[in-house]
Amino acid sequence: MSAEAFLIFQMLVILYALTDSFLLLRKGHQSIRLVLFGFAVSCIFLSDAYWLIYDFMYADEPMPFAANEIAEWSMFLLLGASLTTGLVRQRISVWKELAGTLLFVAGNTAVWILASGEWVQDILTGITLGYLMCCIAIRMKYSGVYSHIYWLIYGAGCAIVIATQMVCTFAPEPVNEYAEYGCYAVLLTGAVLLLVRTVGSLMRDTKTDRGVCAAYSLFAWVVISLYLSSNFVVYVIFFAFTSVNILLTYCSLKKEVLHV
Amino acid sequence: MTIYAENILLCIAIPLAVCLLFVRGEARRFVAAFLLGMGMCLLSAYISGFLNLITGMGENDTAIFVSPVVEEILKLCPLVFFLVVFEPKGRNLTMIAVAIGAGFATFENCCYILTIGAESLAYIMIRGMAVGVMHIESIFALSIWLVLAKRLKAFSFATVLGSLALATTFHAIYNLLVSRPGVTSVIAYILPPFTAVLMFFLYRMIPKRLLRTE
Repeated sequence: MSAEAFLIFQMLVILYALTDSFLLLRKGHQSIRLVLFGFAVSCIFLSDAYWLIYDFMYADEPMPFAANEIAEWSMFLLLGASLTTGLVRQRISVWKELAGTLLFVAGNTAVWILASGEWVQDILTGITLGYLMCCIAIRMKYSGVYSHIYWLIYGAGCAIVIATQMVCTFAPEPVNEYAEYGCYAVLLTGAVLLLVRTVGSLMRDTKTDRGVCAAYSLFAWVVISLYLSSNFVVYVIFFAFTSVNILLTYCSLKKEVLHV
Repeated sequence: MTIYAENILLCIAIPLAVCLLFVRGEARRFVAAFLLGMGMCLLSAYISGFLNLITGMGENDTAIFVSPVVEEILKLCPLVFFLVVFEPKGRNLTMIAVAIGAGFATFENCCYILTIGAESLAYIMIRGMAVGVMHIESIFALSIWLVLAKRLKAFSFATVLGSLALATTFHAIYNLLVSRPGVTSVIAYILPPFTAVLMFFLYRMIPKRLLRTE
């Protein structure tokens, strides 16, 4: 299957999510979170369409300026807003989790800049993705559905990813290749574990918070993995993960809306 | 061919500015927003030209890839200013948005016609139906989203940037499709009227109480 087929698959998934959420809103289940999610996935849809058309029209030419990048940044901001809009502020300290999240995002941004040299685009992507990840951390902390051990596992996974990426960037020849494969293994394992957790939460859990947090965490993890993948096959695998995850995120939000 | 866009703007703007003295209420707001739209079009041409110079991208690439971002940002600025400062009713905001879009499209079309000529009526009709409609519908959709966000108490930087991103990417897709002659250009010309019809029906399906700001 070509990369275009995966783009079309993702667009179809988004169309389904958009149509179903529109019908849900029409039935009277008015939820601002669902509306914000709808706009976020619309951004992904248009961004995918832009890439698809560009690939079709200018297959062998590098893009001088990615006009669709603004759609990706706002997608992160809208998804973040869809998580925290209407969230009741609690007297719980989240500074440790936020500090860890920001460190992880800063480390990733440094790796992207070292790899691509596109300062402005990478910093803006880092800021917007950082906002989304902070929103996820706040929602996870406020929901109280994650124990201390889960936070430690998330933190360890993030630290390993950054460490292996640094080795990939600075170590000499055969070592950086092994580090790259090691990093892919960690990213894939993390994605599969989060996927299992998301599906499990959606099928069994009565607490809707757990499903929503798991689905959004998976989304952030897969996006980070996509940005760190230079291998085409790995990139395509994570892209397929993103498409499935969009559906899971929608299902988790739908469950939350219907539950309320 | 060199055109003097400032002179063209003055020529069109002066009668409209005089109109402002004799009309009241919604008509005055519409004419003022129309003038603002034309001004924003000229400003976006300046900024795109400046970006072309400093990046060295070339006129064609700037028009295809950079202009949509610049144009949509400049169309959004007066709209957000109007929304934040005057807090208008939902209906007024959409009217202002449509007027800004119409002014922008009118001035752009004027400059375009002066550059390439107006011999082919068919092409001029296509240009009017495509670019003209596209500028109006992108800012109209943007205004609807801003009204909805305000009404649902979700008006924030994220929602404003989100609406801007939708308008920008839609515009960028149009510019990309139209950049090469052939089937893609035909699709590009059909896209704005098709989306306008779709948007018309979707707009009718949104409950009216959601479009009324307090």
